[in-house]
Amino acid sequence: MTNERLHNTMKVRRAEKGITQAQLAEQTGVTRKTINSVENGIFVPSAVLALKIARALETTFDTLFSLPET
Amino acid sequence: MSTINQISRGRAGFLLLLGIAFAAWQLTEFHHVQEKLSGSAFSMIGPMALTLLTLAVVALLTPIFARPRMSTEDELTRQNRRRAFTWGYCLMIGANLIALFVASNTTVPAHDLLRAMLIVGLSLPIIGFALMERAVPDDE
Repeated sequence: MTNERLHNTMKVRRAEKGITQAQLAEQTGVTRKTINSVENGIFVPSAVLALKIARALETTFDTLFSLPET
Repeated sequence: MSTINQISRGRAGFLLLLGIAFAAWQLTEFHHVQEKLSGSAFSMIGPMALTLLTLAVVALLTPIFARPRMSTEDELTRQNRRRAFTWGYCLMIGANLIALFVASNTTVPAHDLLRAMLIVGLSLPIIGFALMERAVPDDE
């Protein structure tokens, strides 16, 4: 298990698109809990899931996710 | 609620019940608890808890196989399972050390100590996994 964090702008992007966590979860094939955990930085998703989320939110991976400044 | 959410929450609730049932069953096996319960209570609790435990183990291990895993769980569930197993492992080692200390200094029967270790090493990880699975914040 890793303690690394991954910043994201999912909440903003999701609000722009006007979709709920549940709808995003449906589109990406995971539970809403997973979407919530990723959004709040609790859970770092795999590359595949991150790309699925980016695709569902019609944006790119590096727009959506970034490493925290050290 | 989507199917995967329903399955995830349903299974977590199921595991929570099973973990508690197993812990309750093992607790009733302690001498002090036995003295307070009647024989009929034991005859009911034991087989029920054993059945539930069997189902719990099946439910916990089923996602090892690829097809059920794809349909019933996602990445967070797999991480929660790993955390539960890791905590179970650590708890079991801790319980072992405590049992060693207790056995060295008292006359507690070995089967009671082993039972306590089972509760700590098996029930608690199952309950912990179920609680992690059921902890879903509100949609934001």
